[in-house]
Amino acid sequence: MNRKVLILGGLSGILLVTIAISVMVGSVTVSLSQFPETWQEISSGQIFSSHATILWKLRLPRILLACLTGAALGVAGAGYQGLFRNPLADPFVIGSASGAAFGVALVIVMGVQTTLFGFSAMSLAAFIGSLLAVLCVFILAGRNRETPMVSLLLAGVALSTFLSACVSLLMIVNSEKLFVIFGWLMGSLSGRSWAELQAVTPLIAVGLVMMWLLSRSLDALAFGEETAATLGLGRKKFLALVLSAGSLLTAAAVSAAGIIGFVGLICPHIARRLVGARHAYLIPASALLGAMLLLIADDLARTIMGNSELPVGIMTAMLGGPFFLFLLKTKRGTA
Amino acid sequence: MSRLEIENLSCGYPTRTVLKNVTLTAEPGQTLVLLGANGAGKTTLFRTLSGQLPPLSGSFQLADEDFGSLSLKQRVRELAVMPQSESRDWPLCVEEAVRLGRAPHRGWVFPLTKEDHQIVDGAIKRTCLDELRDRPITELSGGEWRRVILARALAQKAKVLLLDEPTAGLDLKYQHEVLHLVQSLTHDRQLTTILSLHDLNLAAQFADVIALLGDEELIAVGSPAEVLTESLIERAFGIPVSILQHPVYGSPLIAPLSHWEEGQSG
Repeated sequence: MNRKVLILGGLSGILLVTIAISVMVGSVTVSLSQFPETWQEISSGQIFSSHATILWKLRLPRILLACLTGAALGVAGAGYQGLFRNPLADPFVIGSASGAAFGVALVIVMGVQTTLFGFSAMSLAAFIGSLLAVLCVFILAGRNRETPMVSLLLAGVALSTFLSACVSLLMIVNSEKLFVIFGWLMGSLSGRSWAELQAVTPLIAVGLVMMWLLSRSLDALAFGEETAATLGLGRKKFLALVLSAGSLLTAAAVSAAGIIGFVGLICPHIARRLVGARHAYLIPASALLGAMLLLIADDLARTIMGNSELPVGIMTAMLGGPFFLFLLKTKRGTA
Repeated sequence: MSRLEIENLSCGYPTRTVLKNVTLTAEPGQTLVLLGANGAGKTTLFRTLSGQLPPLSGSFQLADEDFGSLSLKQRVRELAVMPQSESRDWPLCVEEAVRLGRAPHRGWVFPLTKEDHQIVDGAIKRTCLDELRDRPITELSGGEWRRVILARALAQKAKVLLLDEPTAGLDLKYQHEVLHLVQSLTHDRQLTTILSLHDLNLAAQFADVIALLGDEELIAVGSPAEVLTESLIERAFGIPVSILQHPVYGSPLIAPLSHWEEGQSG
């Protein structure tokens, strides 16, 4: 049996255990002995007890959403790092985050309240803003034929800076809404229900499969654009496909949970340590690690302060930062 | 078995012609070495032949088939390319890197077949990389890395090999190791090999045919003894040389004269 497949299996196992533990912990603890009874109540469809209600209506959808969002960010990060051949790339490198933030800030300031397909106005604004930002960057950078990858990164930085300034301006001018906007910017999975989960699941599923199918092309890019072209990789089509998959994943994640940093940056690095650089393995491993990291961070975010919640973005950075430094310390050879 | 015929080819960039009217034939089983000073157009010619740059005028044919009429997909099956500096950004292992040579045949999505794996295995064995199979390419030495690129070219089953300075940055032993491998692959598999070199003595020792570039054109084509003469080298490289004979192989041995004599300067 292939060692890398075994590692992927092991990661899936650990993720399942993490999910099981996450179901039990929280402001109301469901112990192992209570679990069968509660589960029976849920599966019968007659939910009366508080345990069953909390588990089914609050905890389970939130846990699953954390896993999906984490997987989306991990895979978008792996794809962008491969595309830009840059270990510093993350899902937000070409403007997704600032586009989403601007969209959300605009909606909050204008007080829009409509919902669509289970998305709140904020989620929709995040989704659309993030896709529009990437599209802008793509069009702006597309004019330069010689160095499209570098132009994309530069245009991404420029647009992000501009949009961040716009968000800050909106926050200062509407200081009474500052806390709402700020809270969203920190990322949170609080109060998410089955509706949100249903809305983002198909988007994330499509993005994950698309990126995985691009594995071999991403591998070829490790030799540089010129060699990839001599192996028959059509640059324009490939670029458009990776950007579509990546921005779809990021937009779905951002609309579900706000801006959660660091997951997309570090998961591909950890995954590379575990299964190597081949994207056919790297992408599933990044998905599993992303799911795990965001789930653990969210568990801590909702339990560590007793009854009040911390933004999950703070937890991913506080967990991920030191761990990443530890990895860099123990790094062998070249990454 | 395919002869590569270049006819009246001009190449370069829309704003600047680098090479004019090159007519040259590369035969299968022969190693053709391109020589020329920096900027003489070696890399531009490679990039044109590999399809990275459209030719300004003229054409080139492979086994009587015009390259302009070949689709990208067919072209990448016929040609294997080693660019001047090839990056290795991620620690793919040697086997994974060689496998990518099958992409021109298998495409980018579908899994490799049993036959593909056999071809990859053969390529790895032929280039003596068996022991390095699982080593990350980022940890290889320069010489080992060139062998991986050659193995990938073999896996590609290309008929034409274009190598842009395959010895750049290598020590003496590895320069000879790589060129020896290229030469024997060219003979065994009847590949049509074109490579560029900076070292005139290496060219003298390994080339079957030398094409000398300078002044935006092809100055001379022929055997090492025919092309590596004092006057042609001075014309192409702008420095006087003295030609000796290799004590063992009898091939030309070039000794550059780095102090200009009276009357030769300017």
